[in-house]
Amino acid sequence: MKLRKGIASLKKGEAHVGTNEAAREAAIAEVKRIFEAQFGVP
Amino acid sequence: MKPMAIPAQPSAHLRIIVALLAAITLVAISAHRAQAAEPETVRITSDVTHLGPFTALLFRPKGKGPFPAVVALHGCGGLFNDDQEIKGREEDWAERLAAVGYVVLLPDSFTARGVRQICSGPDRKISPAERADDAAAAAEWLAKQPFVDASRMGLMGWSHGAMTVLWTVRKGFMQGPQYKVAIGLYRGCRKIAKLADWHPGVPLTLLLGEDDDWTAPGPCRKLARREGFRTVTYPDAYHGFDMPDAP
Repeated sequence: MKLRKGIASLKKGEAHVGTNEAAREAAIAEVKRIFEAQFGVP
Repeated sequence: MKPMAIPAQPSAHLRIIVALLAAITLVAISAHRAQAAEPETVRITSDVTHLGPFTALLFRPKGKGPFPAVVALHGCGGLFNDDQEIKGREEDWAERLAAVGYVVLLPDSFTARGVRQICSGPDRKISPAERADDAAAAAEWLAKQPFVDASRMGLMGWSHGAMTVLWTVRKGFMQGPQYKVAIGLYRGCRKIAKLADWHPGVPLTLLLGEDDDWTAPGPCRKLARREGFRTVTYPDAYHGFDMPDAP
């Protein structure tokens, strides 16, 4: 239900989709850290 | 008092510094591109996919391996744009991970099933539960490749792909080769939270946007407390905060 609401609101332009450069860089670092912690440095 | 003279043009030193910085930036970008291999399209057929065969884009690091591998699952918009080019977010992540030594496989759950996208429209034609079969088939396929270390395979996904991650990592689902760790970016958790028998079978982290008004982060944080997995929430971040080409 929430998902459908989200889709509907996105169609109406009410939901936001967009880049946050600081969050993007932090997420990239976090993903690399998680994989390295699990698998070691490739 | 004599006024200080302000040069109308940048000094020669400043121009040299700017030129050097530009050159360094270009070299860095070129190096990043050079380390990332060009993707190839592979076809995956498996008994576990109820929706049938599908294709995937494969990014390989240079060298023979065996390398750790990451399967990355696209969102509701699909893997490709209207020009049939890989979308910027998926390409950026795949190139980054391949450049540091991971095989990256991006299953395309839509094209082979005659679907372009499922973000809009009354019905979602392909569910995360169905796409979980693709994720399992992708692990099977990777485990058979000589350049992949099947003991080091991870799973990640964005939005609808992150929901697929949650369906894939539930305890007891995968019977074949296993993912050892999983990551989902900006996923809603209301639906999966209603499943009392849903428990993650691998270490799981969800990366969430604090201001996500499409898939709010609260239910995922609540589910994380119930099930003991990690969430990381980024402030001032909407849905799709990692897209390199979004406004």
